[in-house]
Amino acid sequence: MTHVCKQMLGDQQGANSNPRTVKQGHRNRLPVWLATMTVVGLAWAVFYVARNAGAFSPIVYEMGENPAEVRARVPRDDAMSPMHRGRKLYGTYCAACHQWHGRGIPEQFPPLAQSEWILAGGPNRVIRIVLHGMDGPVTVRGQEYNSPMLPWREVLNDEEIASVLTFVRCNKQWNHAAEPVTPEQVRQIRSLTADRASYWTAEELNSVPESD
Amino acid sequence: MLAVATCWLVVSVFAMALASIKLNAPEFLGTSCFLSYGRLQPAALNALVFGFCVPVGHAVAVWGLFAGTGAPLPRKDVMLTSWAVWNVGLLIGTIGILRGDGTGIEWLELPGYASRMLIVSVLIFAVWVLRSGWRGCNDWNDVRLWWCVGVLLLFPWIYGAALVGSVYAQVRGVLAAVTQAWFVQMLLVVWGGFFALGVLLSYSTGTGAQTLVSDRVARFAFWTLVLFGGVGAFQRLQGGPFPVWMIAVGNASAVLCLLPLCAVLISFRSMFGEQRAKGKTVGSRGIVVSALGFYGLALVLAAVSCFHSVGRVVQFTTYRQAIDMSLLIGFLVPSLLYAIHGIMQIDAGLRWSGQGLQRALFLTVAGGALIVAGLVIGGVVQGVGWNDPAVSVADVTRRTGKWLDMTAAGWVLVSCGIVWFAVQVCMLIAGGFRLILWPVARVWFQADIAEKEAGA
Amino acid sequence: MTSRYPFLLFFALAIAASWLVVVVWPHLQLGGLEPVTIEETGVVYPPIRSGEALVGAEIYRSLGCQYCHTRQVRPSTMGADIARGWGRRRTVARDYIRDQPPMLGSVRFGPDLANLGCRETNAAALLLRLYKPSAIVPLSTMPSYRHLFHVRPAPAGGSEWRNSLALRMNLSSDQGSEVIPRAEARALVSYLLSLKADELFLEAYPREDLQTTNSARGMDKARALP
Repeated sequence: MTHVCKQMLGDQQGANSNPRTVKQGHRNRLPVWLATMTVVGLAWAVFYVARNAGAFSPIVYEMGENPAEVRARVPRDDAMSPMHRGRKLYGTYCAACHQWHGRGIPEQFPPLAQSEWILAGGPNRVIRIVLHGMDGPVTVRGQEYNSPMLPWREVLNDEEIASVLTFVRCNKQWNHAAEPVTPEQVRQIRSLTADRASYWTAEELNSVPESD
Repeated sequence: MLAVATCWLVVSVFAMALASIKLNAPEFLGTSCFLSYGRLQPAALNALVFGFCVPVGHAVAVWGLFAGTGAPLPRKDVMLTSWAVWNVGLLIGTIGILRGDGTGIEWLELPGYASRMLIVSVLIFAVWVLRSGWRGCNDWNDVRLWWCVGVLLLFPWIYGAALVGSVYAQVRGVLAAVTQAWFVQMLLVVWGGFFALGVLLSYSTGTGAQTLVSDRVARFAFWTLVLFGGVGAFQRLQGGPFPVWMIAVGNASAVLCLLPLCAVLISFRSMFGEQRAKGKTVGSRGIVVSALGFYGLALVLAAVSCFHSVGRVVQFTTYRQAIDMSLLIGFLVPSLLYAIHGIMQIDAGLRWSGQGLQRALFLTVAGGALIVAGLVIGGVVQGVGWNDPAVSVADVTRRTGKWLDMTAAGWVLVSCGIVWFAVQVCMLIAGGFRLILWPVARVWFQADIAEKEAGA
Repeated sequence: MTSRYPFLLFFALAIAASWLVVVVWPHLQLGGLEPVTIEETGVVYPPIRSGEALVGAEIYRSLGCQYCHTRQVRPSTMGADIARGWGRRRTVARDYIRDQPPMLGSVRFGPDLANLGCRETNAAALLLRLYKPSAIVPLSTMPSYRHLFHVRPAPAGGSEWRNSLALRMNLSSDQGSEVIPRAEARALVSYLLSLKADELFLEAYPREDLQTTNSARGMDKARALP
C-alpha cells in the first residue's frame, strides 16, 4: 500500500509543479495498484464462487456443499423396514384422526407431532393406548382434548403396532427421534394387560412408568 | 439566450417539483407510530424515492446534458407531460399505499394502477431522451456525459423490468424478492451512484472546466460499477431462502464493488489535488466529501456483512436499512440538494446566502449520520439479541429501541435541514420571479399542498 | 468509444448482463419449482391455502406486517433462529411457491413468522395478540390492530361468539364489553395459522442435524432386531 500512496503523492506533487503535463498523464493511466487489485479481486471472486456456490445447483443452500451431499442427506429405507411399514399402517389406521401432518385437529384430536406422550422416555404408555384405546380428558402440548380413541388390540398384531409406533416416534417430518418400538415390548405389555377391557384414562396412564 | 431561458424554465420547474415533493420527507417524522408503521413507512419511502430522488435526478441529468453543452431543450412540452403524469401517478400511489393497496414488495409498493402511470411517464421520458437527447452533445469522451446518460436511461429500464418482473407478471414465490433486490440495488448503487457521482464530479470540477481528471479511472469506475453493482443485488438476499450460489455470487460482487469505490475516491482525490494546485477553492468541498463518505460507508458495510461472522449477526436487522439509508439520505439527497443549488445559482443567476445553504446541508448530513449510526448500531444490537436464544423478544425490542430513537432524532434533523432548504428555494424563487413563471408556480404550490395532505 | 452508438450498446449490454445474472437466471432455475409430495406422509407441500387464508394474506400485505416480521428462517449455522423455535429447518425457495408476493420481510422488529402456524395453534391467542399486543408481551412495540375488531357491550346471557375475545381475556378496561373479531381479523388469523414451513424434502433436510443421525441410528437398531 505504501508505494500506492507514494505514487499518488507523486501525482499530486507533479500536479503542483506542472498541472498541464501531469493531467495528460493522468488521463491515460489507471493506477497500477488499482489494476492489480482488480486482477487479484477478480481471481479471488472466481475462487470464492467456485468454492462456495454449490455448483450453481438450485438444491444447494449451504455454503461449500455440492449437490451430491444434499442428495445424500435424504434418508432412504427399504420396503421391509419398520418405518416403511409403519407409514403405511399410519395412513390406514391413524391419519384419519391424527392427520398425515401429525398435528391432529384442534380441539378434537390431539397432535402426535411433538406430543409429550409420543416422545416420552419409553413406549410403555403409547403401547397401552394403542392396544386398549383411551378416553376422558387428556392434555397434549398445553391443550385439552376429550374424545375417545379406539382400541386396536384386535386389529393389529404386535409387529404392526411396533411398526406404527416406531414410525410415529421416529418420524423425521415431525422432528421426532425417539427410540424405536420393538415387537417384543408390545408383546410384553399385551400380556401384562391381557385382562383389560376398558379404555385407558390419562390418570391411569400417568401412574404407569414411562419406561421399564 | 433562448437556450439559457429554456434551461432555466425547465430547471426551475424541477426545482419546484423538488420543493413540493421534498415536503414529503417530514412524513418520516411520524414513522415510529403514526398511522401504522407498516403503511406509513412504505408510503414515505416511495414518496422520497419516486417523488424526490428520481425526478430531480432526471432533471439534473437533463440539465447536465443540455446546459452543459449549451444546446436548446427540444420538445419540452413532452417532457413536462411526462413529468405531470409522473406526479399525479405518484400522488395516487402514495394515497393508495396509505389505504392499504401497497403491493407488499418493498420499494415497489406503489399499487398497480399508480405504477402504470409512472411507467407511462417514464416511457415518454425515455423516448424523449432517445429522440432528442443526443443532439448537440458530441463529445463522448467526457465521462460526465456518460454519467448523465446513464442516469437517464437506466431508470426506465430497471423500473420497467422490476415492475414487470415482480408486480405485473407475478413471478412465482421468491423470484419477486430477487427482482426487487435487483431493482433496489440498481436504483441505489448504480443509478444513484451514476447520478450523484456525476453531479459531485461536475460541480467540484467547477462548471467551466471541460476536461476531467483521470478519465481512465472514471471509465473504469463506470463499467465496474454497472457490472458488480448490479450483481451485488444478490448480497441483499443473504440468509434468505435462496440457493447458495446466489449468495456466493452476491458476496463476491459486493466485495468487488469496492473497486469502483477506490476508483471514484482516487479520481476525486486527484481532482482536489489539482484544484489545490491551481489555487482554486471549491465551494462546498465538505458536502462532496461527506456524500462520498456515505457512499463508501454503504459499500463497505455491504462488503463487511458478507463475512459469515458479521452476516450472522446483522442479517434481518436494521443494518440493511442502514446501508440503504446511507445511500439514500447520506449520499443521494445531499447531492441532489447540492445539484439544485448549483443549477439555480448558475442558470437563474440567483444568489444564495452561502451560509444558509451550508447550514441546511449540514443539518441534512448530520441527520443522515445520526440515522445511519443509529441503524448500524441498532442493527448490531438487534442481531446480537436475536442470536442469543436466552434473550426474550421484549428485551431485544428494548435494547434496539434506544438506537432507533437516535435514528428518529436523525430524521428530525434531516427534516429540519430539508425544510430550511425548501424555505430558501421558495424565497429565492419569490425573489427572482419572472412573470411567465407565476401561473405555473401557483399550480405547483397547489400540488404541493395536495401532496402534503396526502402525506398526512 | 467516442461515438454514441457503441456507448449505448455497451451500456445496454452491461445492464443486461446484471439483469440476466440476477433476474433471469434465478427465474430459469427456480421459476419451475413444483410442489413436492412428502413421501413419508403423502402430503403435498406447500399446501393450497384456504380461501379465508388467502384473504388473510391480502390483509397481511395491506397492513404491512412484513415490515417488522420476516418470514424466513436461517440455518442453525447462521444464527439462533432454530434455537429460538422459529422453525426446525431453514426456509428454501420451494416454501414460497404459493405466495404472491412472498412478503419475506427484511428486518426483524418482531419474531419471525415463517412457522407461526406450527408453534401457535390457538386462534384466540393470535386474535388477542392482534387486538392488544401488550397483553401478551408487555412493552411490545407492535401496534394494536383494533380496527379489525368490534367492541360492543356484552349481552347479559354471555357471548354467543365462539371466538369472542371477551371470554378469554381479563382486561380490566374491557370489562362489561366483548370484543368481536371482524371477518378481516379472522381471515388474517387463519392466514397466520397457515404459515408453516416445516416439511422436509430434498433440499430442505438440515445439514448438521444431530437428530437425523440419532434417528438413523435408531432405525438401524430397529432393523437389527428380529
